[in-house]
Amino acid sequence: MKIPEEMNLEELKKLKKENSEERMRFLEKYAEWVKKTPNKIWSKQQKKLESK
Amino acid sequence: MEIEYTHKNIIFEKELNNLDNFVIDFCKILDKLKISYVIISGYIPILFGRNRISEDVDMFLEKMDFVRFNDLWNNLSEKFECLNTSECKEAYREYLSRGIALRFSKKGEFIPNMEVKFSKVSLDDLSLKERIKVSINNHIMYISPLEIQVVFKLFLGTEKDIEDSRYLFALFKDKLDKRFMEDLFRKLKIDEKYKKYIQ
Repeated sequence: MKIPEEMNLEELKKLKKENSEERMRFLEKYAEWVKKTPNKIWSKQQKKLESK
Repeated sequence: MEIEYTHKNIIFEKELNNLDNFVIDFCKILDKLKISYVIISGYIPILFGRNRISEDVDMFLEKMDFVRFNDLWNNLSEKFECLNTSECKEAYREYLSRGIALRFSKKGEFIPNMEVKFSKVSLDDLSLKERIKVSINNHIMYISPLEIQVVFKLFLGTEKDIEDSRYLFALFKDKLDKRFMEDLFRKLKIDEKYKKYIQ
């Protein structure tokens, strides 16, 4: 494999910031969903996610 | 760990967890439609046994026109729903085309979800081009080259990312292209982190 010549550190830093912002937006949306969803439903999905 | 690792191919078997099954179901649809994709980030260490949970899985899709995306949307709609919008056109124009990720979950569920976006930068394109085919219990999925994951996770730099990076490196160190990784560490200016956490 070769590192792409056009790879740009600043561009990657921007991407890192965007990813983090996207993650924050998702967490906010998820929290909103948990708030309006019965415990039985959100906890069932959480349990399913955690079970191996 | 019993695992067969050759150039661009990994074959292994394991007890599948719910997240594995979610990913397998999603990838089957992409493979059926011959859409090129690559799974990146936190699911990869989980796939290979790291014990942590994640409510989302990240992937890049090859860039595609609306007609092709519409076909994908219709196929996904049988089992999955988009959490951002219920409109296919909006999903394509307002999200994917603008570089914003779409999230798909199983119908009626919020987690786990698949975060999909078009590749944005040259390193994303390299992940797609050099993706590794993983056969897990005879199911196929494509993941990013592990070298890129080890380095990029360290670049992201949260505690979770550093642990993921170290775990993958510890697991696959005999197989990784060290020269490529060292070049990439230098290019991203994280040589010190490499010495501290990985070497």
